[in-house]
Amino acid sequence: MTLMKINCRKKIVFSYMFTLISFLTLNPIVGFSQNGADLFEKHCRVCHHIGEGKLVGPDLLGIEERRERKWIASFIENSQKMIQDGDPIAVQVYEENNKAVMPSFTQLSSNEISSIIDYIKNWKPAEEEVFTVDINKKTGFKHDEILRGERLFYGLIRLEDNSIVNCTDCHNTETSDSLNWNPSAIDLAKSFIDINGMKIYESMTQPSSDLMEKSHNFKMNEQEIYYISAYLSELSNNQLEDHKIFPIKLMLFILFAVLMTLALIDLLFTRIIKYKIIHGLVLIIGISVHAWLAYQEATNLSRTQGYAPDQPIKFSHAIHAGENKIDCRYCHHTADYSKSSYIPSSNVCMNCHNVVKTGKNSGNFEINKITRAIDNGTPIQWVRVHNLPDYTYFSHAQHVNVGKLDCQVCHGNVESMHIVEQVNDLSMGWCINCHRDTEVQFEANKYYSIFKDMESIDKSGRHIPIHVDDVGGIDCMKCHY
Amino acid sequence: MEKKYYSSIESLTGKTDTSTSTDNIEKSFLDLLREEVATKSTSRRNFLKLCGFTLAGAALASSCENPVKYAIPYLNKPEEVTPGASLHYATSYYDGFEYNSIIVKVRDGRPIKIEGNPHSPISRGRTTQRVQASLLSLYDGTGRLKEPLKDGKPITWNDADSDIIQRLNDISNTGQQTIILSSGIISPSSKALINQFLSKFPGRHITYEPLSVTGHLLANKVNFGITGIPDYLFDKADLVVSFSADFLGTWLQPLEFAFRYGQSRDLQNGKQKLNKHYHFETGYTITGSKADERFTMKPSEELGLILQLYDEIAHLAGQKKQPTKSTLPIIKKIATELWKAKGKSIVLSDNNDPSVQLIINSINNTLGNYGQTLDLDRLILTRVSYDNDMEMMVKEMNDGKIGGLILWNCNPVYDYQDSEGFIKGLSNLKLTASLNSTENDTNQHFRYILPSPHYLESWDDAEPKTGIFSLTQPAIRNIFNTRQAQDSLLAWMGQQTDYFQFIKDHWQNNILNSSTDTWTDALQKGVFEKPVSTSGNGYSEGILYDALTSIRNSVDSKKIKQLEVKLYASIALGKGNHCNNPWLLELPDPLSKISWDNYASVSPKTASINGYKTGSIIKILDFSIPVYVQPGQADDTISIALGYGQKNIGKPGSNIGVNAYRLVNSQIDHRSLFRQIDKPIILEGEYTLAISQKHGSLEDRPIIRETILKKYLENPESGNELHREFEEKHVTLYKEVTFPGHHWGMGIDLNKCIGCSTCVIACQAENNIPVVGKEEVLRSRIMHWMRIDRYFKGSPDNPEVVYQPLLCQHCDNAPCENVCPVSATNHSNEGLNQMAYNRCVGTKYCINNCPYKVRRFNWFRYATNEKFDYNMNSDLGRMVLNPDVTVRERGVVEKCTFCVQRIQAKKLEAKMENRPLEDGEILPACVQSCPADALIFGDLNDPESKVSKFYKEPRNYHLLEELHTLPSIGYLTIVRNKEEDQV
Repeated sequence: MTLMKINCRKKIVFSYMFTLISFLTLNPIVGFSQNGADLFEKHCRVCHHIGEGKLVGPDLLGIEERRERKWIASFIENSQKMIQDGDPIAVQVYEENNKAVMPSFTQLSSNEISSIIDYIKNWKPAEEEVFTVDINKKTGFKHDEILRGERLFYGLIRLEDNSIVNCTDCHNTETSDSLNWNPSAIDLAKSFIDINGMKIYESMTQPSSDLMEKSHNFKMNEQEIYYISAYLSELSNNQLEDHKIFPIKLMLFILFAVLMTLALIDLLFTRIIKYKIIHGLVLIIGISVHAWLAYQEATNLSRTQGYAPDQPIKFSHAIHAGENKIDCRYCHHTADYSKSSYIPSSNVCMNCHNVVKTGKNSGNFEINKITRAIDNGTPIQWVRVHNLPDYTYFSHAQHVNVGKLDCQVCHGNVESMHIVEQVNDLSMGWCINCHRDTEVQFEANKYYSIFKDMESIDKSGRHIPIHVDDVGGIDCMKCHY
Repeated sequence: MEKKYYSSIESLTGKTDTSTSTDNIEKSFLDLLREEVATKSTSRRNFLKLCGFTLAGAALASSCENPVKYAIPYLNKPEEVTPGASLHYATSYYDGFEYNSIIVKVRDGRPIKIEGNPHSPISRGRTTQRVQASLLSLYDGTGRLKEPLKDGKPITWNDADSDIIQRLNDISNTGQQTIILSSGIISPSSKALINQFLSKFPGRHITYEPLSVTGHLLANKVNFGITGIPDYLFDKADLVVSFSADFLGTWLQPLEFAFRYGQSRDLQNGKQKLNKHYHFETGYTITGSKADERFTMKPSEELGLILQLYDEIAHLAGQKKQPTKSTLPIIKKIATELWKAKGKSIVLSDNNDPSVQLIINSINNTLGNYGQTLDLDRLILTRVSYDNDMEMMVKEMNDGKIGGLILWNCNPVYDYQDSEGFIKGLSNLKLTASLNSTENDTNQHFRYILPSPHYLESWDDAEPKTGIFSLTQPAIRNIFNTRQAQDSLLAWMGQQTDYFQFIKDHWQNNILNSSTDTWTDALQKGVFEKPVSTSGNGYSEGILYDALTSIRNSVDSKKIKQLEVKLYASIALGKGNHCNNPWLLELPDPLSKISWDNYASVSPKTASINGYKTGSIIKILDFSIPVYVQPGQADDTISIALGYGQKNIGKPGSNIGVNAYRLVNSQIDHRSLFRQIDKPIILEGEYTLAISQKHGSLEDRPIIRETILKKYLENPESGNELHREFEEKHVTLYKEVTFPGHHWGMGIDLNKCIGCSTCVIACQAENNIPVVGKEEVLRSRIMHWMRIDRYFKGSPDNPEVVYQPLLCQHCDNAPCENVCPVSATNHSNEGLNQMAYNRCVGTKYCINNCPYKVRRFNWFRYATNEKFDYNMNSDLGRMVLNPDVTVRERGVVEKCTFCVQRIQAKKLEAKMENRPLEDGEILPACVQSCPADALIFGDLNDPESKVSKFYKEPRNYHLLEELHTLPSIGYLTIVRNKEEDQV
């Protein structure tokens, strides 16, 4: 475990602010403070840090060792005078600090100045509130840490290296219409749950792929990673937000409902429009639109044409089947002899991805998910795209092996899809139509030799096509039993 | 000649069956609703409310989004597993009572169906009803033991092991014995293991079976010096004389016997020979129902009859003078026939008295049956227990000679007649460990409960017959935290090997011939046969004379009390270990058609004399039991099924029926299953028995056709003359339907059907048929797609019985199809009457219009309704469901599909292999499981198929063929081998 100590500057910042405010409001309490610390806070703090680097003036840490005490005292009292007097050190300091004029503090007594110098001399890094950051932490972040992480993630605050990076440019938090090759924020969060902040730190500081190196050309320190972790841990409980689609049909429905109501009111009570044909037209059109909408909705009930859910891994058929020309049945091999075409088990993926470790578009983030699944023993939970109801029996073997159909006939051009989409509505009518139109491979399969009475060639030697429905392909109990 | 069939006494006498009238049934939910609706007037407000609810409901339903479904593939797919395709493993079933070699169908890791192993000479691809159903007990969430317990609290296996090892050592140090009390064990490896265990921890292995064949074993030991029972070759016997041995139902090897018996009842393909079967029995059994001539007798009369037969045969053999006492004419006749059929007959009795069996052996020997119809080379080894061992052990337990008792798959507190003595003895023991796999009444008296897995999760082997070995292999990983009993023993012996390795080593060292046989082959086939030497086991008379004397004395000195009780193993529950199996509990008894209970069967005459009627409750000893008036029961006797009345075996089975094991009669060297009692008194009240066949009248329709052998030989169409007549009359206005490819049909040989109901269970397992419970059975809502109708014929004192398996007839001119308003049922182009559940709206018109009454309506959503807590409504129980068959929704009609899923699967297989379908390749579940080979299935379009030839048999007829429904099921007439047709 890497533990890091980070000084919290809150208190210092707070006192600085307090001093500033005191100056502005001329708080009468100021005059009573006599000790060095108070004097320093009151007079010097505005321009000087101790041990925290240069502010307006130089850092005063160890000033005792660099300058004589007397020189310091007189410089405090009236630095401009010393410069004008040509004190070489004073001039040097003046030059070094961009000729920023240090106000003279003649109002301070020599005792007071001495106490300030003592204070600087004895200054030790404040043993103020120090808290430890465990960047391997997975849960239990504070609310403000999560908030800060969120701001960092959305690029609302600068990183330490002064750059502004909006992580959501690449790592989306909403479902996207097109495929975003970069891991979504939720995806990151979920993988982060499995690993830890240190892994994020490592992957940010030592990008494992070119793609990542190019896009992560900024630096984050451990504290920022900690905040990001906090936000991601919060995010990992969420799902990707749904992309909201404007409900056109609902609006249309409401619009015509309103129009019809108005028409009715006018027809019966107000009678503003004299021509009743207009009311009639509005009502007829309105009813037709409503009926059409109802019909549309009813027939689409439980149909999912166009369904293209996000998958847990951004697996692209376009790359595997399209570009790399891998046969469908290399992965979905059981389609040949089983009713199920089977989503390949992870070990099938590893046949290639043992060697291919980096994806063209997604780097190694998506491929790592397979390795991680195998390492953790947690199977990948794919979202089923093509669903048939329970009461429907469908056998891939019958269609692929016996019927010699291409996969594309039902599944569409999967080889061009990055995200698999249900192309056909998979309705019974669609099945039946295909069974009516498809010719049986009558001569090719000896099984059909029993259909003796069904001559596929007529007396004149002409080929008569025999369709699936001719051999019982539209019987209920071919699919429902 | 007018024949009269009836199904119950009430239907014969014309009285209505009061015990089953709907008045006695509790009101169903619907009835209550109806009442509520009737009592409250529907106001306008209510109507509007209803409208509103409907609208809101519809809106809610339609606005629901489609659920997201997931597909979770393997991480690392085992090579042999194909999702969506099934694997088959050969394994064996043995529970001490019966043995089957089986094939388990495993789909996606779940065993979903049991079939017989075709490689096994015993199973021949068939199973018994109990073994079919044993699959369901794998997924029994309430009846199975789930984790090791000590004093009722969970304990880890390691802690239990160290405890027990310490106690075992203590016991052996004090010089006491450790007893392993098990049900029958026929596993050579287990026997070797037990021997090893007992050499480490001194003690004994005692086999305890509540239903034993001690008499046989002892007699055979005396006569032949063998430990086992000669195999009964019914297919080679022309004449079978059985004294109450229910060899087709529950006695010894019913599976194998049923097949052989079926062969000898086969008149298909021009066969002319039929065996002759005489049967003497008390209560009606399925074996008695198949007999050509059945006689009732009191259990106490059996000895006298056997003695008479012995004397007659001895006389015919010239060994003795004419018997002095008068012999019954029928015994005389049987003796003469037996003598004619020397070497081709079998005489058998299920009497457990060794003296009786000595006499039976002697009769068989005189008839020269040994080596002919009784095989002494391959002995039946499945019944191995001697009744006396248990009596001695209980005595020793109470005497403090025993230190530890390891119980292994038995339930003596339930099925041992002296359970009090057993429980008392337990308190003297230092170690009591139960290795049972299921909850039962005995476990609670044991300190350690270390559950064994179900047999489908276990490794084992078996030697059911001399030289025939078989293996049991797991088909699923242990569902619960269980460990095989054998592995427990190995652990206590301090051995590192597991039982699998032990079996493998044992087989390789002792059973397999290392040069020719491999372990993998044996495991794949499940069975391994070794040649046996045909040694002429010489018969020696032994103590026959003593036996005869003692029997003669006991026959003479019988004190006859008023009534005799005969106990029997029921078809469904066997010895009782299946009592938590809802499939078997709901299986109607073949004779009484009663499910969910046992009952006291009495004859109609006894009932009327004593004032009993079906449903009256009588008190026998200290328990009360409902009466069922059973035609064909011997007068002055009561028959009660064993296996019921268990208290702690899980949800569906606990407290069903009464425990009749308390009536077992303990003799000096055996237990007998009958005793004499005083006349039981009638208690007040009435009990409702769930009788599933209420309407028994045939309404004078010729749906059962039968003849006798003599007439059949003269005219094969005898009894079936109507068939020709109806065939000629078949004319139709409509175009005749033709089927271009297949036309599926089934043939049922009523002569072979023994009514065992295996097909019913097979169908239930294959087609996801729900169990509905007693109340629903009473409402005639039993869901079985296949039922066995039973009809009596003749005098109620001893009627003949016929069975008729009835399933959807797949009529080519189906009355149900025409009346469906939504065309949910229609005809396929393969001759199937198809039923589309998702189209059905539940009008039930089809049910009303079906003349065969084979359609079933889903009154409830059985798969989710918590009231039907049998198996379908729990996640574990649902694992048994066949994924290829839809689980039906409430409100739809269902019925037999001819196992269309199997038809489609085999067609696809043929298409993938680019070949035509072979005849006999497609086996619906009922056909595949039928032990008697009574059912066949095939393509009627193929003239060479078995079923086409079946249809051409002169005995073939269809049910209600006069209605022109054109059923696709043919039945063959019954031909009985007797002189006169009973009227």
